[in-house]
Amino acid sequence: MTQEQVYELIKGALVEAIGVDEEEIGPEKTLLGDLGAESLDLLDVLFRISRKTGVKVTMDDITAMIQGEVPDEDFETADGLLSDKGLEQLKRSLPQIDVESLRGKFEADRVLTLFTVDNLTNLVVQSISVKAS
Amino acid sequence: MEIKIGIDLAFVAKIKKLAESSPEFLEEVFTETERSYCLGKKRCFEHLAARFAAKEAFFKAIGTGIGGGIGWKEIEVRNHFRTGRPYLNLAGKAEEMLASRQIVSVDLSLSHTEELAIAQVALLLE
Repeated sequence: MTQEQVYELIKGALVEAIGVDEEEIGPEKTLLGDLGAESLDLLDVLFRISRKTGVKVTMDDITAMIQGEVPDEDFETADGLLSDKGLEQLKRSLPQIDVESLRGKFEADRVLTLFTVDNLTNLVVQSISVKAS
Repeated sequence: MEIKIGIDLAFVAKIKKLAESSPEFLEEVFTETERSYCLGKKRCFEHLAARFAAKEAFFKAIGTGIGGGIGWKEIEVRNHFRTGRPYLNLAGKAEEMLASRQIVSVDLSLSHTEELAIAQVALLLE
């Protein structure tokens, strides 16, 4: 499947699962913030994607993609904010983010709220390609 | 001593919709014990929603959030055989975290109506 096909598929899953209008969805929209999805909605979206692509993407896959190889204790500061290492990782995993705007004030446990439709599309495309190889 | 709490609210209709549109939801999120307890009841989706809320409340109390490595089925709601009082039966990484975070007690409370289910988890740390 092409990137565009996966994006269209995800758009359809979002419309069905969350009930948002298609026009509201864009690659840059965050799932939990802009589109108002809750964790149950996200599960619904992932199940729908899995049925349509044959590839299973889980919540753990999403957080693993965001956090990379950085262990929990290095990803956040003692105050629960994103650490310098965490911010460096976000530059790689969520390249659309202006990490400087988060430095010293963004809680690590809110990182999932930065995850966009485009990030999900890339993750699904990557999972499809891993499965095919 | 320190107490950490987590609370969550789940819409019964959303749980019903997801269970019906994606049957794998029940298999992947709820243990066999939970499924057999809830699916035998007349208002099964209220009971499932309460259990889903309990899992989310635990994630919030322990601070990992969803996707933090703890599997849904590692947080299981059971009911005391005599009193019916719900409690959490933890396994895998969820159970490991109890020890690593010096949690000495886990308490759970549930309530539900036709529309909503609510769960609160309280963790007592040494």
